[in-house]
Amino acid sequence: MLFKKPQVAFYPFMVLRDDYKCVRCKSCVDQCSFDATYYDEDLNMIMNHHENCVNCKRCEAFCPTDAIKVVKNPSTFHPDANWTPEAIRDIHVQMLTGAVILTSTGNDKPIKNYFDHLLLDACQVTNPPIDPLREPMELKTFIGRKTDQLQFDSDGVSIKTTIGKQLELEIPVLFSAMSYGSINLNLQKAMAIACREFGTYWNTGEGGLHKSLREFKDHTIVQVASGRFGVDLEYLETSAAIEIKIGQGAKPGIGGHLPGEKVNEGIAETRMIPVGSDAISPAPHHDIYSIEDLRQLIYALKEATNYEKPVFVKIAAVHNVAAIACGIAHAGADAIAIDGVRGGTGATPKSLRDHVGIPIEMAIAAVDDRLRKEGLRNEVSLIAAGGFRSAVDVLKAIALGADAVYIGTVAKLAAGCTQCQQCHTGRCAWGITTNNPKLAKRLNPDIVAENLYNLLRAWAHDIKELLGAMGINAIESIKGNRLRLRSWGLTEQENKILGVLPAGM
Amino acid sequence: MRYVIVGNSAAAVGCITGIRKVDPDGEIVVISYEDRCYSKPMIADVLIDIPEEKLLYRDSSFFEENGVETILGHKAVSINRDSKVVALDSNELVPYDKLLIATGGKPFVPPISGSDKKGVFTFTELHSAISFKNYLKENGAEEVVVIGSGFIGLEVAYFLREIGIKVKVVELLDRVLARALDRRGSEIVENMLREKGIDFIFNDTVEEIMGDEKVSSVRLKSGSVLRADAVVVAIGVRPNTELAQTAGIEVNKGISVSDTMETSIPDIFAAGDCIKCTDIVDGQKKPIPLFPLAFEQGFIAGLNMAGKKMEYLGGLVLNSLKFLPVPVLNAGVVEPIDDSCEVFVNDKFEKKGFYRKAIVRDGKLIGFIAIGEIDRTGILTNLIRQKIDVSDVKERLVEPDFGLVDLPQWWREEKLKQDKTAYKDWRAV
Amino acid sequence: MSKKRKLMKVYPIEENCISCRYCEVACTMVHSESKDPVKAYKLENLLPRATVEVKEAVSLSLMCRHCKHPFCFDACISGAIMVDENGKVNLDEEKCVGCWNCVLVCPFGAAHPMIREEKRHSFKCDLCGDRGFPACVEACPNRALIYDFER
Repeated sequence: MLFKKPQVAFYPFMVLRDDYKCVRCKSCVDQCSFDATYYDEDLNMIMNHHENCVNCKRCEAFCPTDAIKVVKNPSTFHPDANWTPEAIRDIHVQMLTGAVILTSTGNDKPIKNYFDHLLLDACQVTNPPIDPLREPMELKTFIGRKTDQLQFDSDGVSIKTTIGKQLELEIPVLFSAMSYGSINLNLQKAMAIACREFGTYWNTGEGGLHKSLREFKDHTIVQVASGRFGVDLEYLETSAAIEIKIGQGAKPGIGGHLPGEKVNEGIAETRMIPVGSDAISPAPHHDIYSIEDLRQLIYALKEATNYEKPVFVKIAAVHNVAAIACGIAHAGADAIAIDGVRGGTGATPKSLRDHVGIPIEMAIAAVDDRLRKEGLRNEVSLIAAGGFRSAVDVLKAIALGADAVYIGTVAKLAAGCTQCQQCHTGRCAWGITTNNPKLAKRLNPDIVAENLYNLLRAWAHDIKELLGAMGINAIESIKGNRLRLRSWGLTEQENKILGVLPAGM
Repeated sequence: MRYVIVGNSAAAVGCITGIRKVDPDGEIVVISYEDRCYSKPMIADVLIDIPEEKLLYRDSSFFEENGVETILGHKAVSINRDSKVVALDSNELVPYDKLLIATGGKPFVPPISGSDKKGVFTFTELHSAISFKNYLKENGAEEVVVIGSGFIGLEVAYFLREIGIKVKVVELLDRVLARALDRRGSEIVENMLREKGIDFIFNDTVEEIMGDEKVSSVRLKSGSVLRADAVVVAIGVRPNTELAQTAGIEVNKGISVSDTMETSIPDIFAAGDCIKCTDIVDGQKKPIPLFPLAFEQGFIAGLNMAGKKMEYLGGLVLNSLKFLPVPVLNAGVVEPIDDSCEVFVNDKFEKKGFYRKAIVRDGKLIGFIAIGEIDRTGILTNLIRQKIDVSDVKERLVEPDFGLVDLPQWWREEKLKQDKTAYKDWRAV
Repeated sequence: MSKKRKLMKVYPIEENCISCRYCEVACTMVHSESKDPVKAYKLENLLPRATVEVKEAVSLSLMCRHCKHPFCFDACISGAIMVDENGKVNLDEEKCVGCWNCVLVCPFGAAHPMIREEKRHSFKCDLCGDRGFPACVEACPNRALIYDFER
């Protein structure tokens, strides 16, 4: 610890190694991308710089003799409910760097998770449950503008009404926007393969679409964000849908910044910027200062693509989310994606990640209510995003009023992520949020595609079981059906906003 | 087709292997004046009583499985190129369609007066090694003088110390293995041998072997006289070309052969220590009497004899000191051959027990020494063989962890993915 | 002469290798008496027959290629290295006398020296002959090793 700032000594994690079990294979040395592990030839021992350890657990996972455990540093500060170790360390970092604290992933603060306070219904006696293994069960979901009324031909049978292009999902789950740059091509490819195999969609994020992924066109949502990276006509056309990104749950109200050193040749070509130049997404779209401006962009994109692509608008869940969503519906969007306070990111100031935005459960309920009141609910689909962890979360969101759910963190977890919150460093030891070729090759797209496919399959089974228990045989029948939800441990006000009855009522 | 092979060591076995790759049925006859197919590089091990079966290079089942007829204990004395027969010392005539001369090398014994006395031995054949051992026992020998500090001389000296006999090695040059190693390498080897209790006398030579009927001492050029209960002459070997000459084959310090191992006379091939082969490093034709090369040459001769045309890649010096506790390897040249050579040295022998040296010329590796840490040095040997450009990694050549990741990507693609590992795939690039 | 593709070999795929050394440790383990990785290294003093190499982003696991022309077979002075009818190159560690010629000539550096007081011999990949399926391939977590017919 000599010659280091004293504060560095207060590191949060330690690498414990059972030296007898260590066979000096040096796997951990090679796997650690944070310089926390090294081999000392003179001592013939594996040693650690604990202060560099980020608890990514890569070494632990890849120790063939199970000799390693990464643990919390038992040496801690004086217990203090106000001055937590995190608060103290943040002060230390900022007094040393003079900078905002950058972090990544989603909000890790104990903000109440309303999904955990919602309970689903089940059938008993008066109406029978359905066994999904014996009877057909429909999870197919269509995203896009519907209609309020059907008009028929004079024969009274043929439907005259035409509706716009819809995205057809075999499960009401899509992979949310993660750009090439923030993650690497391998994970994008894995998601694209899984989507093609299972029948759902992945989202390019704001970094453009690499040419090697164009074959997945029919399962790709291309994003247009404030930086407009990689956007040209071919990009817009190589898609199933287009998403205008206004905001993101992990960092509402701010833009993005991919540092120049991460802009390699592939990223530069895909983003259409010079190699090594900073890729800066401004906080606002400089051509959008009103709902009318947004409408212009929506229709510009529709016009450019011959009205063949649904256009989504993604916003962060903020205080006025219901009113804003209505405006977006009025502006002509085919779907609104709302990203809650727990939404993840590849890089964000910690203060924004942890303190800006509202929970997605509240946002879904508020937006669904408002759209219904305004008679707009059929005009637009509602996709919820931000911290979804399981099929149960998905089903509860749909019961609250969403059409489908975006998952991002789950895809990363399925690729090996351990939520160490170091995405912004570009040193992800699991090869997910890094474009360092040595690290990126750790993610084999074929293997991860299989994992993602399995995950979607498992969630579909889960949802079908839950629906069956409720006596429902189509996902459509639970959408916005808040009567099949009950809450526990919530205040009257919370129940009112969520539109659910407390358990027992 | 009737194949006849004169000789029964590495080149002969290589030849049988080569023939059988192409021709499973042709008749094969092996003629050897020795009684078994033993491993020549292992004869010094006789001194430490290595089990008989360990000495065997190929047992009788090898010859049976390959359908080889063996004529052992008879020497081939001449070849009639016109009637295509080999005459044996028993006057038997052995006809051939294709003949391989694999008569090996014979020890070089300089004209030293008294070298005909009892107790003076050379060391290239099993029977001489066995008689040497018996002589030591019968005469209760306590001190032996070894003339020459090449591989054979040092190995004999080492094993003599193992069985408790005092050894003095007399070397004309100023260090051990002077032709195989550089000065530092010699020093390391010499120190190890001195620790073992071997004495060295450099810059000197034996002028006279003294004694009545049996050797009792030697007199050196410098004048000193050393006690010698036996003397081993291990100065080197020369190609054994006597048989080839009887057929009028072109011989010039070794049998001349083409790239397909054919001699100047059709249907007669030659391989092993008796020939001159092309040295990959300098392109010169010269005898390189080494076991691995002999086998390879025999194998190539066998393929060509059986009708599959294959050109020999060329030979290169490949040495391994097998008897020392610390391994010593070298390949190609060990000293710069001209001013354009670059020399890289990694000498951590005192601290970490290894020494590495590499010689690079025109961006190509042309030789190396590895002492102590020898794992994976074959990669370097192949760099010499294939003449792969190492300009970008030349400093790395002497690192013990030099590996395939240091080689060009196309090489790995070709060898690992496409599995191009047949003989022809190892030509220089 | 059409050669039947009988021999199966381990092929490394460097694009997928993440240098985790699972192949090395699995190799050492299955070739041990104890079948325990820790004991294999620490009590039995074994070494892996597969070698993981790393240089920046390039990494691969390398084991005996069972060459179509094995130079080690040419160079073996003891007859310990033999090629079977399918082209598999076998090394009999009992017969090996430790002359290191195979180490010196293997273009892949896949024949390794075992230099210990009590034993001196070469060793190399045997394709897990006793086991039926190469342990390294089974252990590889990223599909960087595949067991396939000779190409």
